[in-house]
Amino acid sequence: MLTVKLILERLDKDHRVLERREQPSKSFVRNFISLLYCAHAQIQSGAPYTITDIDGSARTVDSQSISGARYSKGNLMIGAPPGISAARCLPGSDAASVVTLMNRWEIEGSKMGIQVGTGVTAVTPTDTALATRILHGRAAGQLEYGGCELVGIAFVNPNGEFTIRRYFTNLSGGSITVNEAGIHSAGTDYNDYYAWAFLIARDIVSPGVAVANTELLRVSYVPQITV
Amino acid sequence: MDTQVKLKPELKVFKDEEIPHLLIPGEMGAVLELIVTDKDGKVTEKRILKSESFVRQFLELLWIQTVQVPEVVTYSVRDTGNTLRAIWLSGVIFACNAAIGAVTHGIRVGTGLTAPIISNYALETPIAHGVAAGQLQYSAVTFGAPASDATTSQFTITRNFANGSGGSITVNEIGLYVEGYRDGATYYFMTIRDVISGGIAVPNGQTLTVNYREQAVV
Repeated sequence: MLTVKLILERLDKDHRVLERREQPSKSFVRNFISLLYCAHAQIQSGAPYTITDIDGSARTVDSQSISGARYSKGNLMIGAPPGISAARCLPGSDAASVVTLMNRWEIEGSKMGIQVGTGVTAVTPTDTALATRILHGRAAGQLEYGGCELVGIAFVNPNGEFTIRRYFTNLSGGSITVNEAGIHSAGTDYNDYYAWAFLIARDIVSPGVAVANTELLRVSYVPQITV
Repeated sequence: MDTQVKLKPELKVFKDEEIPHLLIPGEMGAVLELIVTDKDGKVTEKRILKSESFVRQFLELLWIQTVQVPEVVTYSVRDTGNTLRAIWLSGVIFACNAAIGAVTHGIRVGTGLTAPIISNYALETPIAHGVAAGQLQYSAVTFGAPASDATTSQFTITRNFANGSGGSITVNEIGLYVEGYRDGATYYFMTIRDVISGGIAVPNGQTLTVNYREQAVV
């Protein structure tokens, strides 16, 4: 069985922990199952599987990859660079136009990996986006998204786990209350070289965590298996 | 020998929209359905149980793909032959779409009884494909597309095991073998192993259908 811990830690600007919350994440949504399905069933580009992305658009995803591209494929990718840096999600093709159309398989780093928002709507399996995602930046209501890192895979029978972690910095000039968290992961299209971000997990944080100006929020998802 | 057994997998008993609920909110796992049918397709035994046992390789393959472990780094995972394989991100990771008779990947069954532990890398005593004594005929693996209801999302992996061996065979363990890749070579890894309490007997001429329904519950 796989379960997930969700940990939210509010830090001051010197990284001292001011508040810590830990709750069971209850909320892998259908898109996670869909990406696993594509991988297990080896969905090919001739009959791709349609998944709704974080912008509400239906996207065709497959697991096709070829030897010329060393079978590289960005599906299920969660790790991401900070802010507006490019997350490159390999589409599995070695066509010359893959390079010239690189913009199709690049995703803004802040749109991949752990996300936070202010929405309070209850989670359903068919959620495809946070209710109200907080944007990356320093304007009012925005948080700066650090990189999304995956660390610490470890096993001690009967358990195994790793950690997905991201720092959010509030330089907006005001307090921001985080009421929801989630994870975006990638799915790709072999034929047209596209990559998109899909919501694979969403959790409500109640009560919300108020992050004052200059403070940081460290959000960790810890997937664990237990035999 | 009565070998007129079905090798074409079918999703029996449950329609796609009927999702069994054995997992609790927050769990991502599998529901295991075991259905034995006679040569006329009549169900002679059916069990539904919670799959308890993602093993180490499941988390490792998920790690490789979510991190996007590159070729220049690699991550070593123990394969079903008990050899560590340095693999990297790929499009074939988790593939279990095995063809008829293929025992390298897909759902596999065995007779081993030892309880699972996280480091299990293969079934304890796998049953071979065939019609000789102690063997079962493995169908191709098929899939049921993702579906969801108010709480649960799932997709289904199905395989039939037909007994044309001439004698009854008791299946005590079930596992899911999947692919991983490095540099022109495909390797195979076990991601789930379940031991079935009391086993499930497959009489000669009958077919065991195994459905692994991978689910997430909110």
